[in-house]
Amino acid sequence: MSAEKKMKYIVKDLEDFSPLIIYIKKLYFKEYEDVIDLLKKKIGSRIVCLDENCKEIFLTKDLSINYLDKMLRKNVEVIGLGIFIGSIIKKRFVPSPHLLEIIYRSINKIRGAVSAEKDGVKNFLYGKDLLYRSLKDLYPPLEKGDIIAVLDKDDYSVIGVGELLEDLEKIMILKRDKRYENMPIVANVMDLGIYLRAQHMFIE
Amino acid sequence: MVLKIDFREILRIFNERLRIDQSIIDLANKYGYLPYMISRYIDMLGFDETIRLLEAFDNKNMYKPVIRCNDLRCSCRKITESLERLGFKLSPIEWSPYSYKILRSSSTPSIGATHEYLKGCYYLYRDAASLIPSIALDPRPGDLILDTCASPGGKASHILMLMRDEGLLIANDISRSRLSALKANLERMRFTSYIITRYDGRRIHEIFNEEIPKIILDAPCSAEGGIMFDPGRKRRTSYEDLMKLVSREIELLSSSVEALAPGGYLLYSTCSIAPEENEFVVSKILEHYKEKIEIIHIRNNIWDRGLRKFLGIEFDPGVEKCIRIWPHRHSMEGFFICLLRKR
Repeated sequence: MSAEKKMKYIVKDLEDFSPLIIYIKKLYFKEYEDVIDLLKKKIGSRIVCLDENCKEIFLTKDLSINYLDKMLRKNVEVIGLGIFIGSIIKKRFVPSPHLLEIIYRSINKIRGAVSAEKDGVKNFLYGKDLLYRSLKDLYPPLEKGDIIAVLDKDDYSVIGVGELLEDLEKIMILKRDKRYENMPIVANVMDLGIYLRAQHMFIE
Repeated sequence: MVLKIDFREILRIFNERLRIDQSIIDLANKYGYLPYMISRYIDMLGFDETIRLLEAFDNKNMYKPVIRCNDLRCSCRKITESLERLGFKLSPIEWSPYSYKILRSSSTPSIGATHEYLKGCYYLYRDAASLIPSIALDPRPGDLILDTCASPGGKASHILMLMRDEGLLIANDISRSRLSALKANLERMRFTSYIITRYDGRRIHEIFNEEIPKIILDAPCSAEGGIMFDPGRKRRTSYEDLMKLVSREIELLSSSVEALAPGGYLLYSTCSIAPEENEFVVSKILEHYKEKIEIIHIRNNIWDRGLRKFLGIEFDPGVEKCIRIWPHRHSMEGFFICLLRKR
């Protein structure tokens, strides 16, 4: 976008951004207030989309919003701010690994996630799907079609997010069936390997 | 008002002082350099030490890549243990906390492709000298800092770490492709207290008028300090091309001075050993702003001072407070670091 062309951006209070609120309530219905409070405390209370379709959604603090307004008034192109919390893809909220890890670590309750064995972590970071044979633990709620977190079993860090391809009950059955071990169970949607692909040409 | 000097004017100043005789041409041919470069090295260092500099530029093995742990996200001890298990041999850098030289690498994965790297546990530099500017600026939690030419993010991420991710860093750059690397780095390392902007650093004063308390300008330069990493640089940049960069550096620094709040600090650095891009640029800025700007002594300068004299030109005496890194003396990429304060 040229600097001359006015950027169309959206700024909302965290609690008014329904795609995120719906996602959090689905995973943390009882702890909803706690999750919102910790996000406000740790990062900020303002949601920013730098384009009208919310291809990239950021959570930030009021101080950044003051400067965002100033920049945009002067036609400065803003590329990012605060923390990247997800995207709207095909009208659905896809949380970022960053957002999920902050929630998991702060509230100490992992939900809507699976953990992966070493080879599964490696392959997922290469942009591949997670296979049954690499599946370690399951953290409900888990329903077919959900966007869930994929964790490294060694340190519980979120290495990416993907679409769950079966319901929890069916996964429990198929996981024991050798014929399924090379079948995908989480389709890769976003993984941390993207950062390697984005920056390899500039080492300072 | 922003200082602008036409490169032809600067070229004239230096060209009339540059002396190139047959012995310089012979030495330039022997090591594969443009003669003007050798002439300047002899002026700065004398003949014998110039040979040591040229040998140091030809010995890439002298320089080791460096990682800086992101202690806000990962335990530095766990990172180093994990990397050592992968076959890397690390050695701590005394003057920069959480930073390690990589003495030996593993064949796979590379240091820029480990799981720890992707999880944002460390930043990778090709050389330790890049750590000095952020330390010299002395960022504190809660600061408001502008990084005028921030990509790819080594200094920006270091500053955010030193700020403990509290306050606000405005990380600006003009190059769209380099901005994607900056964004990737700050996101990967999970910082939250930043805003990334795309704007011409030579016009940054149009956005901020004397309002930023701390600014870092690591200016896009000729990279004459990094010939060991890019031997093509020995012959690529003509003296005229160098002067075009000097002209841009003066404009960039002047614009950042205009954006700086009274009482604020501005850190100027380049990865170049060229006095034209360093002491000369700073002296021109001091001359332009007269009493408004002063050079501040940087604490813990265990390296060299800025040069007072070059090709017969006397620079502002304050440049001795700046830091100079010489590859042959310090086993690091050539660098220049200078801290300014607005009165």
